[in-house]
Amino acid sequence: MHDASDLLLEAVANSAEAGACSIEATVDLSGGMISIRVEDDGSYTLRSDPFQDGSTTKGEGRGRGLALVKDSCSGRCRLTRGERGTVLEFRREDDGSFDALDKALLPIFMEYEGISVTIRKDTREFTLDRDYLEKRDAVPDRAGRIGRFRAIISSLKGEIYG
Amino acid sequence: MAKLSLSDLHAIREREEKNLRKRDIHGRNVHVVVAMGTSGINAGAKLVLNTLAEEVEKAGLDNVIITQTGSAAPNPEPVVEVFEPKKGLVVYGSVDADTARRIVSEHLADGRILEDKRIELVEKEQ
Repeated sequence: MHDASDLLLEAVANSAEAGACSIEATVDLSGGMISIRVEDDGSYTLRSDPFQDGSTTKGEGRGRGLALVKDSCSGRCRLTRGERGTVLEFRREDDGSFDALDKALLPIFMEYEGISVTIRKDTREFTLDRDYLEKRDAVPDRAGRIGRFRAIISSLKGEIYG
Repeated sequence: MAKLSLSDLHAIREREEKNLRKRDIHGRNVHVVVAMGTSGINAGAKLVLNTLAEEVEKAGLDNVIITQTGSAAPNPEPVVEVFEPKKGLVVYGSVDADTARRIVSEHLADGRILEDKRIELVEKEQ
């Protein structure tokens, strides 16, 4: 079963597969709930029910990601057109999967260019993007960089988690 | 020679940075790939990826680069592929955190293949 950070990973992978060059994710951790919003500039053909299992524009045998999101959020999800492209939003109970923030974000920043993630907790927030990590030689795909990535996340986490 | 504009300079810098990154990847002689499709994540691939990263960092294996790929179904996931020039491609199936630690300490650091976890990659039927 996917936890909330797995669902964020699915959503980002979905955006990348849709050809997005820019992916903006926001994770809001407030009031015991997790609200996730992913906006991208990829090209989708919106179907009548994009959350239906097997509903896909990407070929045979695909299309499990959004169905998983819907199942894991008891239907609290929607896919709409935003200013820049497509917006996926979903909400579920906080399962603690963003407590180990470095582990939740490492797969995303290791792999996807053009990604930015905002973590918001109550009234505090920070935004981290891939360019920031590249400038600090901290894209976590090899020894040395993984440690720098963790140090950056730990520092930012301290600012909003207290 | 015509003067370069600021945007030309930015374009050149971006191109060279991309080239530098490509050379950097090619300079690493061991490539570890984790299958992170929906089925892989469901089977625990994220924990495996994080464990590999942590252990590679701890061991200071500067010649290793870790990347991700999509679903490896119908193979037993989580699936980890290790490619190095001497031993070629080795694929591991049903990898958990303990196996990930062994991949780093035995295969990547010592050059010993984990025969008990090795699988032959089966291609998905079209």
